[in-house]
Amino acid sequence: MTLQSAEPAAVARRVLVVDDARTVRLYYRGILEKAGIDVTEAENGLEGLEKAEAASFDLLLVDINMPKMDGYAMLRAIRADPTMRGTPAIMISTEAEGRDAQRAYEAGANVYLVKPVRPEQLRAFAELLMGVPA
Amino acid sequence: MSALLDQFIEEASDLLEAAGAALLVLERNPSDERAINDLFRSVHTLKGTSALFEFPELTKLVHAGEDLLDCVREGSVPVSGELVDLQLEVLDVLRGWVDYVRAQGGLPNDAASSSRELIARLGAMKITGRPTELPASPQAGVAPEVIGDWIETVSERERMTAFRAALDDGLTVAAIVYKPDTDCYFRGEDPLLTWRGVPDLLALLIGTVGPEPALIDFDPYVCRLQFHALSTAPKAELEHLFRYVSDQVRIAEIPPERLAVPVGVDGTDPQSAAFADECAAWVGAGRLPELRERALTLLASIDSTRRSASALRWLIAVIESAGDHADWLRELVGAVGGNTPAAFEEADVAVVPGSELVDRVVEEQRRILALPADDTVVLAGRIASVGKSLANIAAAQQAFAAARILEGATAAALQSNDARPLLDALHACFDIVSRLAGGAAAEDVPVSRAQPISADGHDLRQTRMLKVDQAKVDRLMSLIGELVVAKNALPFLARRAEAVYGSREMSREIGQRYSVIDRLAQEMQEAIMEVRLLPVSEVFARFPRLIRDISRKLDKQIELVLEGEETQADKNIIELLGDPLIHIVRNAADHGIESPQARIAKGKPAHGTIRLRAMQEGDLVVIEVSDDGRGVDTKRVLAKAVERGLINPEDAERMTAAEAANLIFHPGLSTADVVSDLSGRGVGMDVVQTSIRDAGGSVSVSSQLDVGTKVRLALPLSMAVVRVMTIETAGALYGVPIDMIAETVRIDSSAIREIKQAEAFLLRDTIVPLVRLRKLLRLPSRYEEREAVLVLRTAAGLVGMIVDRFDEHMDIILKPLEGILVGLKGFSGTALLGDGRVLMVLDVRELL
Amino acid sequence: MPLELRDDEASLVGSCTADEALEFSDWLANSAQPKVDLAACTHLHAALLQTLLAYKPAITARPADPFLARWISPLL
Repeated sequence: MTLQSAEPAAVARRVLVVDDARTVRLYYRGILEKAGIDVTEAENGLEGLEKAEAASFDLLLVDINMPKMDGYAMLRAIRADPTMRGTPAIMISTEAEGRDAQRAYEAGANVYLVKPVRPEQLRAFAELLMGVPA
Repeated sequence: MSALLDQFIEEASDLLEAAGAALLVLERNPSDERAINDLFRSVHTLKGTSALFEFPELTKLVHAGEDLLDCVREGSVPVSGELVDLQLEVLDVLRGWVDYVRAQGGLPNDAASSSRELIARLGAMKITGRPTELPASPQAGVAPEVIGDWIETVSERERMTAFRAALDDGLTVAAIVYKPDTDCYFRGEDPLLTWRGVPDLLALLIGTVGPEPALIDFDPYVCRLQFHALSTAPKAELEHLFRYVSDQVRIAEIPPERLAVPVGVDGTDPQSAAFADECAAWVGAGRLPELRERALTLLASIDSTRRSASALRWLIAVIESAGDHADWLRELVGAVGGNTPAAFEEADVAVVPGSELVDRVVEEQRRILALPADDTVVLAGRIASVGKSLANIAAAQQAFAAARILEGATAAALQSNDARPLLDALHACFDIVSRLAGGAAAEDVPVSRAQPISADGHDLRQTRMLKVDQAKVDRLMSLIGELVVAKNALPFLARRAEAVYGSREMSREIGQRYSVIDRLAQEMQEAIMEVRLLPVSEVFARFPRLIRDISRKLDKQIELVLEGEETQADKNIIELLGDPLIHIVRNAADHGIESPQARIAKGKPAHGTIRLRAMQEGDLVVIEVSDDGRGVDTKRVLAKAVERGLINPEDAERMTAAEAANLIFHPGLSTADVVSDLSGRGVGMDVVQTSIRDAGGSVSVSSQLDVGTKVRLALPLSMAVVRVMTIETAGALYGVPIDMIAETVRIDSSAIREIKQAEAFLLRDTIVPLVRLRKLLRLPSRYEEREAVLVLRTAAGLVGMIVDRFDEHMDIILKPLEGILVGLKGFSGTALLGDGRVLMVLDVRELL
Repeated sequence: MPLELRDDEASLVGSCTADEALEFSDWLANSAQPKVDLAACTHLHAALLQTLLAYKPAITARPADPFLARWISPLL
């Protein structure tokens, strides 16, 4: 007997990319779209929060240091909202591991990566956290 | 990628402009916090963005500028005219480089030297607040991994001292990695002198870099040393100490659990295994003093060089330390029993790529759940996101049952506002899932490694081949077979939990665990089957020689064409194919292909062609042997069959050409005298058919006179699991493959009719002959009022077999008869049952 | 003289600097069975350490200096 119901449907996954650097957003978009993933961009935490409230996403990709609202604050707000709190999040920073990683996890990140993230690395993490079979 | 570069050039120009403007505001008003933040963010963003490209000089320079601004922001370096001048100079240089990149696509040649010079001046200003001109360091060290595998090579005693200092005295433990430049001695640096000054040094590993040069090439002035160390001195103090060589040193604080890694000789013993089993629950139950006592007792009785002993020592140290560390304790208790703790997994990574990614991400989720949460909203957010991530990770491994368990546990954890149910599910699901399903992800993607792609970094990730003794694979296969059988006990247990103990919940839970184990067992089965796959080329390889020999001997011209040699099938199947294939190919060459003269006379090319083609069709491996020879003369085959009384003339009339051709498999037409008459087609074809059928396959032939013949063999890809119905007769258990069984019926003894010596019964207007299993097996006979009858499908139609009792259906892995059982007629093999009994599987065809 | 070279035994005395490394490594390269006495050595430059690690001479006397005794001596 086999049980198979949670099998994911072939719907495109949606990722919200939040980074104040245009080039970085373009870079992530290129990698993710190549993997058949829909990308929405936001250029700071506040805009990210607004976009996350307006639509549902399968994954958040969040920078730390941003104007208006930083990544920590944005993730804390997401995690406190019962409708959005379950969305997996990857935090990406230029700082090495250590305190920053700790702070990222405390704020609500599920994975902490250090820039620059290699394309295959980003893709593997994103797909894993969204339940896409490798 | 050029669109990305265009975007970078544009954005970098904007950022540099914004930074310049903020810098000028800052000069007029050094306490303008907004200007400082704007400036810092622009530079920070530029750093992150530039790292996407191969402009290391640019990235390093921006990084150094950012470092200095960080000090300004913290207030440790004042804003001075000199500082603004230097930063403006840096911005000018950067702007020049960006313009150069726009025009040339790369950095100017002198970028490295001007980058070095500016970095040195920025560094000097950071320390002194003054732009002292320091000599530029010739090359910045490659960013090393600070917290890495090396920590485990630090002696256990030293790590334990550091661990206690961290937990008992609340000190931070810093990891220091110092890789001096090869020419550092020429700059008057003495790394050992620097180490002498390091306070609270707990461990110092000194190693050499790169391959050992021959002594003849040894140069004492090329520094080849590298250092790894642990210290409990504050990170800031250490950074200050290493400030002159900061580009060669990395310092990071180590989380204490990173130190608590058991090391030692592998292997386990019954005592340790029993400890791990018995004490696993003690951690959650808070029975720590007892656990410590048990650990001390066990430690005294086992080999201290074992990894389990090391795990015990760590276990004791963690219990004795301050604070609640249930997760570490659980992991260590498992490690005593021989489990490899997650943090220690890395050595095996090359063998199972991909599982590292899963392991690491799961480990992060475990740590997130273990973080202290000061309010319930934060905790709920963590539980929800970790639960979702874990369920998705399980789904990505195709472990859907585990995914559902995790979802359920997440809901339970949210409801009770306690992470524990999710933590338990994490342990239950991922201990197995990550290790077994790990092969799924193809790429090894380490978390948080900031290294760019490098040629040598990839070496580790190449596939490693392992030569394994066949017997080991066979043993693994039979163990998995037993697991498949053993898991069948769980649904039974679930029923009992409900029926006997009245616990529906327990029943459901067992059912859930069963579906996880079932899924895993299936995946294991597939994985082991895959290991056993061999390419068909193993069998095909012998044919070129065979054909060459035959064509020489018979003076024929034969071309052999091999196709689909890469098609794979189970080793047993491949081995079994050899003899029948030789037979068929020989037939084609000996008798099918005509002599060149005869071929020319028929208008065919002088050389004949024999084609061996292998392919996969669903779960079958198909091999076709075709030739363009004289083909089977079906008219003569039919005439011969009628003559021999194998078929009656009426049937012969109605037969299609294909049916007629397949008559050559009939034993009565395969004998030599007939064969010579039939131009040799069909020698021993009945033997071919039998051996292929025994392996669960089928053979068919199609032929056209003077055009050619094609024999098609179809076999299962692997000796997969057989589903049998178990039956009881004379106190023993037998299995009958389900696909042989048409139905099971119970009949009154009065319904049995005796026709001559034989028995039969009427099944929906059809007379079905009856046999008694007891009789077939020469067991004492027994007659009942109502008999249990298995209605079997056979080549000759339905046959009823009377057995004592029907039992349940079961998945088994059939093992061929071995030892004294070889040659025993009527049985196709045996299987081991969950309770240790042996099931004999009946070969119905042979038995009847 | 921090470096005292004899036929088959050398003594490193006091604080030994990088300047000694070339002479020391030449001596090690040319001795059949070199022995080294570190008893009176108070500091060893890294260049000398890597020379010792490369030639692996027999150590006849261990250093008394606490830093060397604790961290360096076990490697030799």
